[in-house]
Amino acid sequence: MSRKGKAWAVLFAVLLIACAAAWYGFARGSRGTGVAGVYQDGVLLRTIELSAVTAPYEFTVTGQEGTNTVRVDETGVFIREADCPDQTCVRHGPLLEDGTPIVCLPNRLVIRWVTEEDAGLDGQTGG
Amino acid sequence: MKKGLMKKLTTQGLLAAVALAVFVVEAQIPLLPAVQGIKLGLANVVSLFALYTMGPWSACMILLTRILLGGLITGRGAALLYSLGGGLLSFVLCAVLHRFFSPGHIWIVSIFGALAHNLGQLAMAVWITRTPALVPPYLPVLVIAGLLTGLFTGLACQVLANRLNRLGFIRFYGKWTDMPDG
Repeated sequence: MSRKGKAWAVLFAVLLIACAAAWYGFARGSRGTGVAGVYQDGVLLRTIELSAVTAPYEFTVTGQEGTNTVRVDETGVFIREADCPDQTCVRHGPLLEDGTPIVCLPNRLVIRWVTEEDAGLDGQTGG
Repeated sequence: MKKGLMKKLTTQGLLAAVALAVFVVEAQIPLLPAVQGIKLGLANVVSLFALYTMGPWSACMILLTRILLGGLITGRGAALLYSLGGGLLSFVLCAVLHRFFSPGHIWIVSIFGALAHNLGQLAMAVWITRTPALVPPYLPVLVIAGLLTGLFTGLACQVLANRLNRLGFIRFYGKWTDMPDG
C-alpha cells in the first residue's frame, strides 16, 4: 500500500475506534427509562410505562402515508405491522434499553425512551 | 450515429442494468435487522466503476436511472425519495474526490461516499421526524457502518476495475487513463 493509502487507513481506523467507543459509551450511559414515548412529527402522542403493562395490547398510529400497528407486550414495545413497502421499522424489532430508537420515516413516527428533560417539557406544554 | 457514442450509450445501459439488478437483489436481503437503514450498498460498486471508467456525467446518468427504475421495481417510492438526499450528497462528494485519488485508492473515495450517504440519511431522518434526539444513538453506528460498507464496496470496485484495466477491457477516464495504479 502506498504512503497515502496507509495514512488514510490509520485515519479511518482511529475514526472507527472513536465511534465504537462512543457507541459503547452511549449504550452504557443510556439505560432505558422504562417509559417509551410514541412521537409523530416530533410531538409526543402517548407514553407507555412498561412496568405497568399487565396484558399485551396494540394500538395504531395513522399518518399521511399509512398506518403503523404498535404492539406492547412482555418483550417490550415494537412495531408489529406497517403498511409501507420498506418495513424498516418492523425489522428494527423492540425498543431496547441500550438500543436505537424505532423510526418510521414515511409516517414520521419515532418510538424512543422518554427522558427526564422530555417529561419536563411535556409538562409545560401539556404534552 | 458515431461509433464512440454508440459504445458509450451501450456501456451506460449495460452498467445501469447491472446496478439495477444488484440493487433489487440487495433490497430483498435485510443486512442488520437491529440497526435501521444500514445496508451494504453493493450497487455503489457500479457507480464508482462508472465514475472511474466513464466520468462523472455518465456515472450520474447511470445512478439516476438506477434510482428511478429501482424505485418503480421495489415499490419503495417514498423511501427512495428520502434516500435521494444521502445518495446525491454521496455522489457529488465521490465525483469531486475521484480526481484526487488514483484507481489504486478507490476504497478511500468509497468510504467517503458511504459516510456522506449515511450522514445525509441521518440528517433527512432528523429533519423529517423533527427529532434531534436521533443523532446521539445513530451517529456512531452509521459512521461505523459507513466505514465498513464503504471499504468493502470500494475494494470490490477497485479490484475489479484494475484487473479489467490490466487485461485491456477498460480504460480509466480522464487524468487516470495513462497513470499506473497504486
